[in-house]
This record gives sequence, structure tokens and C-alpha cells, in this order.
Amino acid sequence: MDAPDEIIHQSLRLKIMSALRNEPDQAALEFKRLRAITGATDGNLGRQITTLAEAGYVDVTKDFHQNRPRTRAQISTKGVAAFDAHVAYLKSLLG
Amino acid sequence: MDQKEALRALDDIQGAKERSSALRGYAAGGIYMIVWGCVWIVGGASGLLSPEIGRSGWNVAVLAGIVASIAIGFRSPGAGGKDVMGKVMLTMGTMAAVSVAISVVLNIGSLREATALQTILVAGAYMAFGIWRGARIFVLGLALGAVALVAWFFLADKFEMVVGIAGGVILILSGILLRRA
Repeated sequence: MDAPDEIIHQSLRLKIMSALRNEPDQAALEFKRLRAITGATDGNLGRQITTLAEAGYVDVTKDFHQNRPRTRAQISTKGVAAFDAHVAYLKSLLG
Repeated sequence: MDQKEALRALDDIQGAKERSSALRGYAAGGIYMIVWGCVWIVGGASGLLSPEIGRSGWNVAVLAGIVASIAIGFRSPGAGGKDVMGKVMLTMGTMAAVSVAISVVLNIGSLREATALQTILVAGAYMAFGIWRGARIFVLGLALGAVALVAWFFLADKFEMVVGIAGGVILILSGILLRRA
């Protein structure tokens, strides 16, 4: 890879992808957990997750859990490959 | 993109990973804290009836806590079955062995001393675990240890009750908070 992934490179999206990639077995993370990890506002977090979903890097699931609406995001196979390639590119810059 | 920017991005990645791991640890550890909070309350409250009942109350409560912890370890998602059970058993066994060894060496005979020892050991274990898995667990251990020491020096005649109930409430509330993390 000789260029950064422009979708992942944005700071908040990078944090979201890092958190999702760090989940054992690439399990889904709840929106509120992602908010706690990134410290982002609801609106900004929602926008960036949508961008990642449109790129095919994350899968978003909306359902009800204990009678409450729940939104979860899960990194996709394409997202794992893109994130790993982006990290490899960053490391290559450092030699 | 230059090296400085790459370094900052890698720092962001590492920070997000650490935060994510800490929050996962909080959520997974919360249920164990709730269980052991109940153990503390039952053990402490049973001591109010009589020293003999208190001694067997603690034993029964601790045994129930161990069984519940093993069952939770088995049922947790991605638990890994025998591996987790082995680690839980080993952790419990180590704590029990250390507790018995200290009791023998220091010739601990009274319920009050035994309760203090158990409480301080558990508080120390949480603090040590918290250093690796998240500051909130460390703070919880510190709070539990502080309750034990304050009760030991200033509330000697109500020690078991204070440690049992206050420690149990701290554990349960913290467990609930951690599970919401």
C-alpha cells in the first residue's frame, strides 16, 4: 500500500475501526460502547459509522434488547483488510 | 502524510484499543463483583446472629460465590470452556491457599481477624487486577480496603457487619456501574 486509506484515516473513524478490530472474534460493539471509547458526540459518531458502513467497512445492526432500541456495529472482512493495510502503511512511514 | 502524522495516528489506534480493552474488562468483571458483593453481605449479616453462625455463614456464602463464579465463567460469551474454568479455579484456589497460609503463619483465630484478612486480600487482588485492566477496578479495590481499615480501627465492635454490608454494597454498585460501561 503506497497511500493511506482516506476513509479510515479520519481521526474518529480510525478510532472506531481500531475499537472494532480489537474485539475478540470481531464481535459487534454497541453504539454506547463506541461512544465511551471514542468520546465522540452521538451525532458525529453516527455520521462516521454511516460513512464506514457505506464503504463496506462495517456492518450496522439495529434491533431491540430488553425493550430498548440498540445499534451495533461490526467490522466486516473488507474492513479488517483495509484497516490492517492502513496500519501497515502507517508503520512503513516510520521505517 | 508525514512521519509525525503517522505516529499520531498510531497513538490514536493504541489509545482506542486500550480504552476498548478496559471497557470490555469492566463489563466482564461487573457480574463477578455483583456475585461477591452478595457473598459479602450474606457473610457479614450472618455474623450479627452469633460468631458460630457467622463463621458458617461466611463459609457457605464463599462456597456459593465460588460455584456462581465458575458457572458465570462457563456461560460467558467466548468463554473458552475448560480454559476459563481452569483459570477461575486456579485463581480461587490461589486466593484460598494464600489466605490459609497467612492465617496459619499469623495464628489468626477470631472471626474478626479472618474477615479482615479476606477483605484486605480481595481488595489487594482487585487493585492488582485494576492496574492491568482498568482504573475503576483499582479504585474499587482501594475503596474496599479503606472500608476494612476504617472499620478495623474505628468501628471494632461492628467490624464484621460494617465490612460485610458496606463492602458488599460497594461491590454490587460497582458491578452494576461496570456492566453499564
